[in-house]
Amino acid sequence: MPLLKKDIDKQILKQLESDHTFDAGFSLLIQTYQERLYWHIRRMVHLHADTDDILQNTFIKVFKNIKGFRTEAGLYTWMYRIATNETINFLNKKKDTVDLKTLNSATNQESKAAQYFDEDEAQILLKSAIEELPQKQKIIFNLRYYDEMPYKEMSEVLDTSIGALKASFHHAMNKVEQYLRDNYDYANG
Amino acid sequence: MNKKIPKDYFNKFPDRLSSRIEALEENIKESAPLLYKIGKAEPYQVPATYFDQLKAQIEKQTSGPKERKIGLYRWSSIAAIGALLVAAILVFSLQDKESEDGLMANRVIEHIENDLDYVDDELLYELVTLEETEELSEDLDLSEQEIELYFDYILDDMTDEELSDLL
Repeated sequence: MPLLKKDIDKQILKQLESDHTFDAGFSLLIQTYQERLYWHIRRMVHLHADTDDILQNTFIKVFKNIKGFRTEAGLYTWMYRIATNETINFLNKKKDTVDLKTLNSATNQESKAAQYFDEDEAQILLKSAIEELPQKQKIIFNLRYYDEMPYKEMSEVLDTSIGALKASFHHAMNKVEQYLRDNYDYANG
Repeated sequence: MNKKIPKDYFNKFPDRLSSRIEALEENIKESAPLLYKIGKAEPYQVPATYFDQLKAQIEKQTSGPKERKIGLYRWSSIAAIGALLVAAILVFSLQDKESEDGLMANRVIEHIENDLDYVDDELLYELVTLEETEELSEDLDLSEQEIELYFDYILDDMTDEELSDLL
């Protein structure tokens, strides 16, 4: 799997080097990473419309800066880094973090309007538990738990030591579990 | 006694050990049973054709030459600032000539302040001809390049809205 990813990155970067194949290369880049980056962003901002904005900004930033991209750095981690920064900037601009009430309201609105949301109370509860985490811990939890990103790559994305990331994920997992224990009233069901 | 070890064994050993430690540390099934029970399914859905359209949308935004919206603002602003500088020089020279009461200078300043909104772009362009720029540079003892740099410096700090307001 990591080898495959490396090979695709190599192919993308090779195509991006030449003006003749640049468009095809950029198209392959979007195709390869759009879904992964979409979910990485959406887990943080929740709403599809916001995710769409941030994702488009991410790819446009990638497009503008790809010429200066250093090939020794991983394309995948570089793009995650851009997407993470774009998401953090968006959340900081919004100033208030999305609380459970907003989350439920937003997801209900979306589910009613366009059926973008599966009615699953346990999943909503898990999202609420993650939402309680501090911003950086939330990103670490999402990258490790959902994306199953190796710590080495997470370290490049977040510019944090592997040891600190492991400790942070461990704390985050304990907090999430505790929240679920406190609120998951049908735990034995 | 044949003591062969697999090729790259020691090269791969740290990664293998690290993976096992990570797995031990994150034995979610045991350390977070509720989290494990809920699983990783996403509660959100994405509009059916979203990813097909996204690619096309981004390509649309990134293809072709970019419109330089700032271009018109920039030139108009250069003209406006140039006009103000010319006017300022004029005011100073008038102040010298009418130093007794300074009334003329005050009237020119008043005119600039009150009636600048009515000055159209064409007039502004006319005001900043190359000849005047040369005169300006002589009066201020600045080269054309320095004046251009000065304009760039001013304009770089201005937002589109401020430029619009200026015009």
